[in-house]
Amino acid sequence: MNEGMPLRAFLWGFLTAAVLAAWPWLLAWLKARRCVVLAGIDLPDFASLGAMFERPLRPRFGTLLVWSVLATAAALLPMGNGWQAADLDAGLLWFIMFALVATTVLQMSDQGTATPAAGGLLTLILCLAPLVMHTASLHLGDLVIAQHGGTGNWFLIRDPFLLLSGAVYVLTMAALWPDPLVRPAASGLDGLLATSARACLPLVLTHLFTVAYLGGWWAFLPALDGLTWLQTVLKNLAVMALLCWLKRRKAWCATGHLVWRLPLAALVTCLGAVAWLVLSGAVL
Amino acid sequence: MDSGSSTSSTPELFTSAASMQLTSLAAAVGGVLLGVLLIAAGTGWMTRRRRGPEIDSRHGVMLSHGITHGSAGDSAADSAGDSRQIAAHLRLATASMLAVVLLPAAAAIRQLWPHPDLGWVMIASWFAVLLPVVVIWLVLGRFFVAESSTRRPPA
Repeated sequence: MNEGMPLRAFLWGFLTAAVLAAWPWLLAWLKARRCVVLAGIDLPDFASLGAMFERPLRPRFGTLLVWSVLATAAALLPMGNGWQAADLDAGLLWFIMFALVATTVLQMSDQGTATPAAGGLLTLILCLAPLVMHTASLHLGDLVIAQHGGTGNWFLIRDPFLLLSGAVYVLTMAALWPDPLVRPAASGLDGLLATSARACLPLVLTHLFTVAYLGGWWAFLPALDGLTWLQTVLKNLAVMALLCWLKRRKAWCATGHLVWRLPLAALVTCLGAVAWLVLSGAVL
Repeated sequence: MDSGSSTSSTPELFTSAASMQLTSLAAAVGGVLLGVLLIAAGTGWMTRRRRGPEIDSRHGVMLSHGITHGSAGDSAADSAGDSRQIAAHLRLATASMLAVVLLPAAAAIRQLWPHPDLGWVMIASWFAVLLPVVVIWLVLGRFFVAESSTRRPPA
């Protein structure tokens, strides 16, 4: 640790906030360009984003809270080895805490109940539990470092139960993806931050999926390791494309699945992965 | 991350590595808040540029001063859903309290006193806590689905 860390963390947090603020505009631009991947998905467009500047509505506390904790959670995720705001020993726990607050408030404003958000996060935790046991660490960097050595070492395909838990994780992400605008009258900074938070939640969860299951900053071949941030960005975009494909299938990613189907599936895969881990002698 | 080792015989209660990590986290939150502040300033500037210092006839307020009031229609709609909103706020408050109290406490304990070996202890404690929570959750989830499917909307 050097003394420049807090300053770097400050700049990283600011940079993350800027990227998250720009993300809905990028989606709107892609939508305007008739991007095939985004076809049929309810996303913010330039007209709805431009309408935010019609009325100077001040942000409510909940909107500010959601956006800030989501941006902080995103800042904790590593883009490369040490490329993150704060290299926390219990980074995964901190991330889950921030994601819990953001997802709960967003789902509360959509559904009027915290049940789907709590079920979704319980599912995500159950999906991540076997990975924590594999690495014996809650450090996000350790999760990635444990997957070094090419595609064969990525947690997603290391054993069949982890593949299943990865699939459950992706379905949960799709189910947790909120609609772009709940209140048609939303405007001003409040509407802008709410739209941004809704558009960015799947992106942030996708980044965690990349870190936890897809080798993070490592390339699919060890010989191609390097340009770590580019590897992470490309993987994030690929998972987002998969998420968009899933999002078009409404029956697969209904919010109702978060109440008990997805948690049950996650529990079964989690127990299976732990049994596999113990029987294979990886945990003693 | 050498957060637990020390050359002296007396273990540190709050290691320098842990305090640096928490300082970095606080700095990151500060950076995010600066970002929000700049977005707020940019949004305010864009709004003024678009509309100018005109008076909004619907709201009867000077928009260039950034002051807004809800219309009568908005107020009626708000009051109609009051009882539902109060229940929703209570549930939100419960969930927030859990998030605000439990998880940071767990994160802080893990952060400040890292366990040297996350093997069987980790698995046992994880499942001892998680399994009852999951089982209760699933039972309640089934009950919730059954109850909401039998409920009829008021005529």
